[in-house]
Amino acid sequence: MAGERSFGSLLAAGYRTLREKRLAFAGAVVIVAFVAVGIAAPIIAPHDPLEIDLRNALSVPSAEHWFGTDNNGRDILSRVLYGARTSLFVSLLSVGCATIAGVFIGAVAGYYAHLQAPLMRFVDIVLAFPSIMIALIIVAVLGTGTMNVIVAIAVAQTPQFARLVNAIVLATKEDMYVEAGRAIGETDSSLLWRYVIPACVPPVVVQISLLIPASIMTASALSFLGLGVQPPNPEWGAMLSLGKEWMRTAPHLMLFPGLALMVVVLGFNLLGEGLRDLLDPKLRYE
Amino acid sequence: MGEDSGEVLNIRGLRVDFHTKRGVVRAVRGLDLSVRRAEIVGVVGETGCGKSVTALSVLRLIPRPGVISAGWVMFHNQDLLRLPEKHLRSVRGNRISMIFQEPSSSLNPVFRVADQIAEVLRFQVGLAPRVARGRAVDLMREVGIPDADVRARCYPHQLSGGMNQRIMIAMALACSPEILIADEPVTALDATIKGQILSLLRQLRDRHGSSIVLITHDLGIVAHTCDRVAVMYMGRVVEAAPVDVLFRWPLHPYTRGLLGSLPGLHLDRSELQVIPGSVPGPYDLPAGCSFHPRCAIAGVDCPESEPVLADVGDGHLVACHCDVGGLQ
Amino acid sequence: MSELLATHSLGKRFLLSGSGGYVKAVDGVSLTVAEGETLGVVGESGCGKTTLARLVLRLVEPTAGSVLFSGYDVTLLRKDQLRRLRSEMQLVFQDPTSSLNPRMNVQAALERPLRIHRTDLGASDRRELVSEMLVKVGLRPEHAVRYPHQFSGGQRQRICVARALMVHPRLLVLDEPTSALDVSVQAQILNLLRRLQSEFGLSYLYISHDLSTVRYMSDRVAVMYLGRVVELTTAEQVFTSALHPYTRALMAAVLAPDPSCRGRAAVLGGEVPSSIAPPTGCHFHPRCPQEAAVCKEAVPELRAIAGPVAHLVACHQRGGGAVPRPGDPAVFS
Repeated sequence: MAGERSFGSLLAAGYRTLREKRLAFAGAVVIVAFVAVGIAAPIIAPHDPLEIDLRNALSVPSAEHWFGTDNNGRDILSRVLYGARTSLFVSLLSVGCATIAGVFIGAVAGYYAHLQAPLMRFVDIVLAFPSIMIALIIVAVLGTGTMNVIVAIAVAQTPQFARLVNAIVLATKEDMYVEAGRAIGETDSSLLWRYVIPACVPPVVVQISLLIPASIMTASALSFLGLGVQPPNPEWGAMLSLGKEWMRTAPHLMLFPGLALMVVVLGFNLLGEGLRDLLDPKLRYE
Repeated sequence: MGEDSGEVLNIRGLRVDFHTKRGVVRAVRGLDLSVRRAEIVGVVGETGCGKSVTALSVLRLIPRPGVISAGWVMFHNQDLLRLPEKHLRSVRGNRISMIFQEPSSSLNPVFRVADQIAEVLRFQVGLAPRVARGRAVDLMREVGIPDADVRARCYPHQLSGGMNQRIMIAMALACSPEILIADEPVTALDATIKGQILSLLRQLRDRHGSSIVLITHDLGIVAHTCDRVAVMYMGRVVEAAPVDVLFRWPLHPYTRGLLGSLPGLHLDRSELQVIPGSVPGPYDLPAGCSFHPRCAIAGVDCPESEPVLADVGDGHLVACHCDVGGLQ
Repeated sequence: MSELLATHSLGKRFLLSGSGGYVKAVDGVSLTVAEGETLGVVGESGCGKTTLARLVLRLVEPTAGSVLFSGYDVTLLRKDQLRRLRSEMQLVFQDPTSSLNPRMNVQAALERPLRIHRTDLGASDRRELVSEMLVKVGLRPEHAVRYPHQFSGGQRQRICVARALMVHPRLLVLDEPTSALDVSVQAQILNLLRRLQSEFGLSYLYISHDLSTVRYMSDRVAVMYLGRVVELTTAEQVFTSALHPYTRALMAAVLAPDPSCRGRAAVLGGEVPSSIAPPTGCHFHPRCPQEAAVCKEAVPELRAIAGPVAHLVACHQRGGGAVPRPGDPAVFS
C-alpha cells in the first residue's frame, strides 16, 4: 500500500488531475451546478413550480417561460430547478444511508470471521436481484412517496457497498501494518476502525460517485411509473411520465427534464471515472 | 582466467531517462562498461543506482516511460541500440541472454518448464518440437536438476526457487549465448542454495566460454564469483577494477564506505562505518559529482563538475576529482 | 543476569485446508533471553523463525509449549492482560514500508502506543515524547507531520523502531530488521540498534538469515532448521566451533566479501525440504554428510556438550570431524 497520501496532497493532486482530464473536469462542473441549483432553487426559480395557469398551458419556450409550460400551465424551468432539488435530496439521503449500512455490514462481516458467511450470503441474495426490482418490491410493501423511495433505493444499494468493503477488509486485515498495530496493543475494534476501514475510503468514494446517478435514475424510474414521488411535486421522472402524452404536440415537456437527467447522470459518471483514475494509479506511481 | 582478452561487449556513454509527470529521472548518466570473453563482470550498487536499468538497456528492454537517450552498446562491431528490431530479436535469448531475480515469477505459470525451455530452441534455432524438448531435458540435466525427465513435466509452482532459477539458467543457455546477463540471480534464494547457483554459473562459464554480467548489491557474491567489478552510484560507474584489486585497494570514497559498512569484516564488533546521509531521491540529483554531499574528502571541484573514469594503473578505473590514485 | 524471556517446547502447527495434513512451523523450541542480552536466531526460509517471533509475542497462538516473560506465562493471559504485556515486548518487522499505516502520519503512528498504554498523558506530553524519540532514532522533530511514503526505507525502519520503543519495552523482537534495506543503510540501523540497547537497557531477540549481521549483533545464537533448534551457543562458538552439520554448512556457505576466500566455499547439496512432509527423525539427515541409520529413526534432542562454554547441539553424531571456517576447502562433495 505504499504511496497513499494525506487528504491535503490528495486534494492538490485531485485538482491537477481535473485540470488535465477535461472530461472529469466537465463532470465536476456539472455536479457543482447541480448541487448549487438544488440548494438555491427556491431563490432562483422564476415562478412557483406548483402554480397552475391554464390559460398558458402547453406554451412553447418564451421570454416569460424559458422552458415553456406544461399541460397545467406550470413553468417547466422552475419545475426542472425544483426537480434538481428533489433528486439531490433523494439521492444524497439514499446513497448516504446505503453507504453507512453497507460499510458497517461489509466491515463487520470481513473482520469477524464467524459473521462473514451469514452476513455475506444475505448480501449475495439481495445482490442477485436487479436494484430496480428491489426498489419496486419495497415500494409495493411500504407504499409510494418520497421517503419510501429513499428507503427502497437505500436497501437496493446497500449490498453493493457491503460487497466492496468486505473484499477490502478481508485483504487489508492481513496487511503487515495491521499486525503491527496488534503488536503495539490495539484492540480489535480500534484496528478495524483506525487501520482497516480507512483503506476502504478511496474505493467507497468512487462507488458513491457512481451510485448517486444510479439512485437518481432509479428514483426517476419509480416516479415515471407513478410509484415514487407523487404529483404535483416536481420530479424529473414524473415530468417525463406526464410529458409522454404530449410527445408529438409539445415535446418541450419531455425535452427539458430529460436533458437535465441526462446531463446530471453523465456528469457524475465522468467525475466517477476521473476519481477512479485519481485514487488508483497515482498511488502506484508515488 | 580470461587470458583471451577479446572484448565482446562495450558500453559507452549510456544514458537512460524516465519521463515521468514529476520530471525527468536520469537513471543512467553516462555509463562505460566493457566485458571480455569468458569474463564474469560484477556490477554492484545499491537500490536506485541504475544497475538493472543498465542491464535492460543492453537488450533494449526498457519499459515506457524510459528512453535510451544516448550512448552505444557495441557487440562485435554492431551497435545494439541502433540495430533494427528484427535483428535484435535474433540476438535476444540467442547470443545475449538474461536471467532475472525472481525465478518463480519470471517463468510462465501455465506452461510446463521443459516446454518453456523448448520454446527458446524452437523460436531461435528452429528445432522441431520433439527435438527441442529432448534438448530441453538435456539442458535441465546440465544445470544440475535431479530427475530431469520427471521434473520436465512440472509447472513452475511445483518447483522450489532454486530449481526455478536453474530452469531460467537452462533457458538462458539454450542457444549457447556469448553473454549472459544475470540480474540479482540469487538474491531471492536461501544461503545454502546461493552457493550452488553461483557455482553453477562459474562452471557454465568454464564449459561454454560465455561471459557473464552479474548484477547484484551483495559484495560477498561479487568477491566470490566475479573477475572484475564495476561499482555504480546514481547512474554512473564510480570505480572499476579486477576483483582482488578492488577489495584490497578500494579508492573511491563510496566503495570504501560500502566495504567499511559490512558487518562481516568487523570481528571486534566495533561500530560500523557509515556513509553519512542517504542516497538522494531520483529527482534530487546533486550538481557535479553525485556523491559529493556524502563524501568525507569532497573538495572545491566536486560540486562543480562530474568526474570522469580515469585509469590509475592495473586496469583500475576511478571517477574522482581528488587524487585517490595515490592512496593505498 | 536474570531470564527475561523463556520458551518451553514451544510449538505451532498450521492445519492445511483440504488435505487434512498439517505443517509444524515451530517444533519444540526452548530458548531463553537474559536481561540486556541479544539472542540471535538464524536459519533459512521455512525454518520457522518468523513464526517464532510471532509466537513469542502471542500474535499467533501456540499449539504446544509455553512462553514465559518475566515469570508470567504469556500463553495463559487474558486479552486485557495480554494488551498490557504489549508495552513490555515489542516487535520490529522486516518490511518497514508495509508495517507502517500509510494513512497515519509519524506523529499519529508514534502516539498510538502512548494512547493505548499511557492514558495519563496529555496531548502536549505526547507531542514532546514523540519529538524526543524521533531525535533518539536519528530523525528530526519536524518529521512528525510527514507520512510514511515521504521517507526512505532506512528512515521508515527508524520510525518503526521508534514506535516500538515509545512505551519503553524490555524486550524487542527484531524480525529481519535490515533485510529490506541497502547495505549502507543496514549499517546505520545496526549501529542505532546497538546504541539504543545500551541506552534503554533492552534485550533483543534478533532474527535473521544473514549470518554476518547475526554475528555482529548477538551474544548467543540459536540455529534453526525446519522448525527445530539444532544448535544453541555463544556467537563466538557458533562461528568458530560449530558442531551441527547444518550449522557448519551454513557457515561454509557464507560468501565473505574477500576474494581470497573464493573458489573454496563449501557447497551443500540438496534442497531445503518442504515443511509439509519433512524427513523423519532428524530433519537434516537427507542432506547430511554424517548421516547414519539412527538419524532417520529418532529425533535428536538438544543436548549440552561438556566444555567451558554452554553449547547445545541436536545431533546423534555431534562432535565429529573438523570444523570448516568460511572459505575453507570444500567439505561436502
